[in-house]
Amino acid sequence: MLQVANLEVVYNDVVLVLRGISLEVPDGQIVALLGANGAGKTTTLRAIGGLLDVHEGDITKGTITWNGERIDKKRPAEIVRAGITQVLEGRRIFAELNVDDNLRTGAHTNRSRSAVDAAYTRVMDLFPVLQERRRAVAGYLSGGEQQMLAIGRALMADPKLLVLDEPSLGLAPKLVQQIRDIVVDINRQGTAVLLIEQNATMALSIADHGYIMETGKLVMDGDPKKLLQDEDVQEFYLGLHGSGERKSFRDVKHYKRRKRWLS
Amino acid sequence: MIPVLIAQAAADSAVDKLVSAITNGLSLGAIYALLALGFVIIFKATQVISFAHGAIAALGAYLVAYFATVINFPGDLIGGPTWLQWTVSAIFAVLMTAVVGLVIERLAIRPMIGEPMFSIAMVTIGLDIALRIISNDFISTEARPLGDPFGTSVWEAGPVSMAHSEIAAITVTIILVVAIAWFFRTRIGIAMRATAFDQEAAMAQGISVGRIFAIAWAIGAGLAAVAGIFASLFPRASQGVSSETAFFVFRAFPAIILGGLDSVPGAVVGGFIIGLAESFAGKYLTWSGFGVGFSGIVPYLVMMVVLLVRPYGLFGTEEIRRV
Repeated sequence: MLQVANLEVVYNDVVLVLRGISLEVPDGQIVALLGANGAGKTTTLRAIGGLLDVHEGDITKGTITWNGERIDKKRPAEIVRAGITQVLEGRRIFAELNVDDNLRTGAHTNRSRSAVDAAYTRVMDLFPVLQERRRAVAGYLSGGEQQMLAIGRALMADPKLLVLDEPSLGLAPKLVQQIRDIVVDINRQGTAVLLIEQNATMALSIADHGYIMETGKLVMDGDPKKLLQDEDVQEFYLGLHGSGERKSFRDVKHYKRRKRWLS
Repeated sequence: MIPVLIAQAAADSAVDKLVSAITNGLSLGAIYALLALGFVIIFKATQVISFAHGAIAALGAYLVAYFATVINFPGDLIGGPTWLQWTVSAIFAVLMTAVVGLVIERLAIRPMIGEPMFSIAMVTIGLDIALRIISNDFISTEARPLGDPFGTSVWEAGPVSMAHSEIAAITVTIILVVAIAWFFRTRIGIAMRATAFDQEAAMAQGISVGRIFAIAWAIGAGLAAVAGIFASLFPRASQGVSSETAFFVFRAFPAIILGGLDSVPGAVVGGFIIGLAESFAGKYLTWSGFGVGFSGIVPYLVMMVVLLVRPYGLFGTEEIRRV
């Protein structure tokens, strides 16, 4: 189980991005983390994966624990070895390497031959498309294939927790459905998933628990079905208003509803 | 009868000239290829332009001189024929140079990660000066022979005549190039290519970027040392490693740029092209109007012409992009 408690992150020693985030990802569950641009979702993930250094970020308060062990001071390689792998926003596949080599980078921490082979078979079962394009240079794959490759690469490390940052980014609706089904499949095979999404409907439809962030704080959390029913969520994320109809932006009267969650 | 003989002799000497231009070019190109390969591996994996490459090559050659001739370590532990002892000591010295590469990376380069590329390049210039002064101090004013078993002996077959050291240079280069090509398919090698492409994404896969940097520097320094050895042997140098050896490496820069700064195959091909160009210019462009030493500038001319046509070098990648 991943537990984040009162996490505060500062970039460049001045920019306070996370102001006390607390969340939990229980084993074997899908947890969705939603929020507008700049809310701090990606920063939360960087903190979990140990990738803040690259961006001049520091954890100034709070802890991250994984199965009871603190991981907020650990290096990325140790975190991956402990069982948390992330798929970065925007896929970030190694475009110059072919598909197989991309997958092999994912297995970097996985030293046993048989475990790597098993992970490879699992990835090929999940993504038959990659099987066909094993020798293709990754940069020439389509957007959907690249996203699948990015997820497959993360799975090569045999993670207990898979962290996905906007897997539906820039994909056609049909592909978003496909990615959604894949996430469900991966979860059924026993991997917990922490899912960041702007596509709230998609994320909440598969999640066991949902968190909503705004400007560095968690403003709401709970059962995804309840969140989907919530007026604020409907208005801000689903483009619906109270009665569930689609709303024309012409009718929006900003003063009628408060524009921020709390405060 | 006599005119025929003269014509025959002229044809023979023309063939000899051509063959010797080729063999000389290949052996020179082999050294350039090794230098370029090490430089490109460091640049590609760590984005550091290492101006210290020449100093490292000279240091490597000096270490060989020291280990093989002064203390004969660890060759004397093994015994056997002298050439074997020398080879073992030389390999040990190359490994020591690789360790020096590791130390340089850890002490001077690692703290500079994230700084602008030019700042790091400046650090390597400082390293170059420091290393050269230290190794020149050890070498002192006299050139030091490496105690190699090749000497000045030459192998001849028909029109071909090559120094043993030249044959060794080409053979060793081929072996090392194949080994490097194989290395890039191993777990660490793929991790290095991944790191070269996208450091953060590599870190997210659990690749320790610092370790990859260290390995790249070790390999680069080791290759530089091997090149430094062959650059200090007959016929490249008359007496062994001297304060000139470090500057030999600057002649490999056209090879690096020509092949493309970030291309490993380009480094090898560029090395041989520049070696052949220099050698052919030395043999054929002897018109007195060019003056003495014209062959020395030919590599740069070739580089300029190639860059006019292909600004990224022959094999330099622009960027793979799906359209």
